[in-house]
Amino acid sequence: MSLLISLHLQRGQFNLDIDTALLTSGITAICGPSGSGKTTLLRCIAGLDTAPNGMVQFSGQDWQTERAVLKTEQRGIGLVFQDAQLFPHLTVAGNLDYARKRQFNTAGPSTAEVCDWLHITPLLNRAVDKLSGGERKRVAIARALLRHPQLLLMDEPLAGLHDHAREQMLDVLQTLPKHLDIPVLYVSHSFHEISRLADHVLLLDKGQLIAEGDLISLSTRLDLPISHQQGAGAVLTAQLQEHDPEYQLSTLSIDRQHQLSIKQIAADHGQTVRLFVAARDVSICLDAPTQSSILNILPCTIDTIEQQSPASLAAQLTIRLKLNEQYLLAHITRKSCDRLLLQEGQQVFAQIKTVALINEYGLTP
Amino acid sequence: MSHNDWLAITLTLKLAGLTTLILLLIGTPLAWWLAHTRIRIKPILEAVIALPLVLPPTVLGFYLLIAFAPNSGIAQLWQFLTGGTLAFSFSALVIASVLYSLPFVVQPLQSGFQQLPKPLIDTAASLGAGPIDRFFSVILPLCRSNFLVASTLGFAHTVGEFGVVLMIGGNIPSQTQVLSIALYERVESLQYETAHWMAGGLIAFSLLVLSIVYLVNNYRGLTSLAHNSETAK
Repeated sequence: MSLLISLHLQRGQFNLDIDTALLTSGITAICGPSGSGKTTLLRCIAGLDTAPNGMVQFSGQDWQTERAVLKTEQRGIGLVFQDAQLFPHLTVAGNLDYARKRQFNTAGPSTAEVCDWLHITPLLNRAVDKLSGGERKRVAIARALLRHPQLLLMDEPLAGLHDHAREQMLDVLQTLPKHLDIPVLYVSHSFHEISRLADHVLLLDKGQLIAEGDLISLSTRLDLPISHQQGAGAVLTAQLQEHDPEYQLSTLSIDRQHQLSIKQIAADHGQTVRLFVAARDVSICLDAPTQSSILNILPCTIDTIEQQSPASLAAQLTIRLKLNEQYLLAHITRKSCDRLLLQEGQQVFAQIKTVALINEYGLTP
Repeated sequence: MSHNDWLAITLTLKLAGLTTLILLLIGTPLAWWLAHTRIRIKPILEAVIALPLVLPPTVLGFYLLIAFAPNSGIAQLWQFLTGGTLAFSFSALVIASVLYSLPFVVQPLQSGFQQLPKPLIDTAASLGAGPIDRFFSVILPLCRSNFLVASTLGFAHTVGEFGVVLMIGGNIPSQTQVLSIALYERVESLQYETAHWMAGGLIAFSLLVLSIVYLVNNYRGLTSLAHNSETAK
């Protein structure tokens, strides 16, 4: 399914300028710092805001043309707001029924199925003001799904949750593409959320689309701000090679020369998994350390050292390391870089302290 | 109590009921528009609607009397449309009551609509509800206490009006003699027993109505909405 967008909007100091054609399937993330226009873009796609003379077309249907604007209620979307927005005069079941009675497509999951996916069956008879923050969000997502929409829009659906609840919600959201065959646009400023959920990413900054592509290649592009921020890191794909039951480890192969060991995971041989290696967990050695507690030491080539402008004397540098096909990011101090005389093209070893499994759900390698 | 006394009571209830119904029909869209418009003259419009709150009823009554006089444009248009005269008729009382009680209906509704979270309405739209559907499925239930207050105040205030009716309605039994006028007349003619029944009855009625309003407002109303938006944070 395709989504064509051409939106130009000026509001005071803020300019939104987006022209793009998306082939949407699975979860597409709209990412950027606060004030970058993510929410405005989503609201324009939903029809809640209108950019004059804009154009929005979803899978051949005109949602906005120069002459006409299709109303939100006719676009067949599901929308999940930051703060759930459950109807306070209805119970949980009443909120779900509200959507079910107005569903867009007749075909789609049943209430029982959706409640099961989101673990809200026990909550059905509750008043919505008796729900926790996480429960409210799950009910809001269930309600949007029961609309049987043709496109699901989510605006920071995990905002305001503490870490534990957020991880639980991510586990739930990750399984959604398995159940549903509708495209999802997911707005978030959190790279962590996006790395777990999205296949395709739109990066916004100051109302402009600065990059668009698959998560794996965007995560290691040094020209983008996401590779420099605190939680930056590389997203990699690997295949499960073998399990080591004695040490409770699994070996994953990135390519023929590069293997990683991680705490044993529940995956089958040859299955593709997605990994996240944080830039701050990667250090660089000139020789292969032989006596180190760190298991994962990979030979690689320095691809790029981030060029600092002379005026900027930052303490930290970002370095991109090339494995065969894929890349790693490393955040090291400028002092270490100078001391080791690191140069682009140099053969080095990357010591990786932690590898996180992102997910094991059929993502394109 | 005589036949005429009962006529005054039923006429009053009929007038108040009809006025409240018309006010809800006119007042709801007007209050919604006022709650959301960004038009510059909004304060002036709000002031005009609130005028009956501060003006002596005789002022409104005086102008309406002139407007309803048989040779006025409004009266002639009325005659053309309905074939009847406007002056000293029940219809004139209804029109006057609608104008006179307008702020009592518009203001509670407007404040309810203003407190209604916009994202909830947007959510209803995203779930496929059109404007009419949204009104009945979300706005009305969430503002039910405002509608209750608006209709009760509109009704009770119409029951309580005296000055306007006196100016434009006169005192024709079964036509324009409402309870407050009938009471006045009984007192003038020293029928104190009937006057006691009417006055006491009005006090009991008003107390009952207001108690119900306060009871409902304390237990339900927007308190549940406020609580809900707090837990969402």
